[in-house]
Amino acid sequence: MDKRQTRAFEEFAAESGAELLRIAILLTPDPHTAEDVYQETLQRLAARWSRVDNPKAFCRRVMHNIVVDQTRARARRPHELRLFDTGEKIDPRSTDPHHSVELWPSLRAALDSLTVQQRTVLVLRYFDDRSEAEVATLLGISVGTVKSTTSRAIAHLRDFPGLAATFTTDSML
Amino acid sequence: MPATDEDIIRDLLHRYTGHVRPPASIATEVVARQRRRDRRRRRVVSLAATGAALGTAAAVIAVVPGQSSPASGPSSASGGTQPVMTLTADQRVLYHLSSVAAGQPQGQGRYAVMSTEGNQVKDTSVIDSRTGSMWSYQEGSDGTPSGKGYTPHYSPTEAQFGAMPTGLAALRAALITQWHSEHKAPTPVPSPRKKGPTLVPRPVSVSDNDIVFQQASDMLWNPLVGPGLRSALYKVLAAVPGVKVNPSARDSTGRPAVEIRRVDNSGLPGGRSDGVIYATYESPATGAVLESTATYPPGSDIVTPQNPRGKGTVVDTTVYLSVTWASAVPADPYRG
Repeated sequence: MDKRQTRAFEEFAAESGAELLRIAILLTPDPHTAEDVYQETLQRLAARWSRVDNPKAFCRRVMHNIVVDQTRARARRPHELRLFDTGEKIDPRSTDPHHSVELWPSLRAALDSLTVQQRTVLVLRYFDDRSEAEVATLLGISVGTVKSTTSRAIAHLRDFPGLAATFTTDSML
Repeated sequence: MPATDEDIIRDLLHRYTGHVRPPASIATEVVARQRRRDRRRRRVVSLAATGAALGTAAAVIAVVPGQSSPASGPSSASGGTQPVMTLTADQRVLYHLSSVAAGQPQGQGRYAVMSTEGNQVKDTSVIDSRTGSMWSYQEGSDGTPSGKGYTPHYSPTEAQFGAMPTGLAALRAALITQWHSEHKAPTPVPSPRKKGPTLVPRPVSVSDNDIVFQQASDMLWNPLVGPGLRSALYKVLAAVPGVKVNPSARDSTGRPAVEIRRVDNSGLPGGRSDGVIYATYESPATGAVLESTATYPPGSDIVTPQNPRGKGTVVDTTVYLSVTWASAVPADPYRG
């Protein structure tokens, strides 16, 4: 990378880094894995910077591919027991800390119980605010698949223990 | 207050990641790491593409034009008559290093596990001797695992290195052939990025001696390079004008070392790198590389975590801490 490319890359990372790390956190089972995925994504972007037309889309696609690879690799290894909480932080802006403390593990567990594709579609649709067509293009699937996957993922979250009350309560207000 | 299921999910996802801020140093570390990889890989040969050329070069080249040095000496593949040679003190050191390297055993095991440290970041690279693919694990400056990756066909394989000529004239010619095969396209190319300007690669004026030093010195770090080729590379380096040798140096960790250095004025495509001093520190006991450094002059636009804006002189260092061999890809050593 020459000077101009380096500056452009660093500006992109400064501008989009937080957003990318948040997506990584939502796509992966723990913060350490998220940091790995985030850094590996930036590394791959840096390696191809001069040839990448749309860095944001590239990062999302790469992130999804890395998560898929990791999920397959994990499936081949003996199951790892989580012996204790890893000290994940809660949202400091939350007005109800008790609610946040209780809900974050449930949301994390609910996301973990989704398939990789369901999880990615959900995150791209509702965190990244991508349209169904954009998600379809990013993941290389049809718009119909995006719709059905989204629908199934939402239904799964609605029924997930610990989140069901959130949906019911909030939806009634 | 969210009203629909979609709104609730949107709210949850944003609420529970709103506090996340990545360290600003990650991007800089990524750039620095990429640059080290580029530098290490740029001159590592793509033997598959140039295999035929190598064979031709080995068969045809018998004498290196303009060389009155040991390049046409006793180990030449041409098998010609031995000229009378007078080695300089620097060349004698390199020839001794060559004989030390030749006496080392070939690594046993499929995977070379190489621990390095550079710019306060520790890396462990696992290179598959059969495919050249590399797994890399990284420890961040704060001591926590900070990255890992997999690069297919990162390096030539052990067999490809083993197929390289070890006669000095043939090896020198092969190194030059490889370099030219990797730097074929100096023509302007339009930027693939929509709003970016047209990228015009900087013309490179590089001499054969620049090429040979670059190729040879950057091959030595690779643990897949066998004793025969390593031995020949030291002799090739001994024949390159401008090479300075310090037999009683120490690397940055204090290990006794033979320092081999040369000022490179060829410049690099895409960046101002004139007058870069490349140095490599070898173990006098084994001929293995202990450390490699590149000292970039002011204005060379080199960015590191310690020098984020690329100002002033930058010393880019990679310390080779250990090389071991394994029959399987080891787990991430930086995970507890």
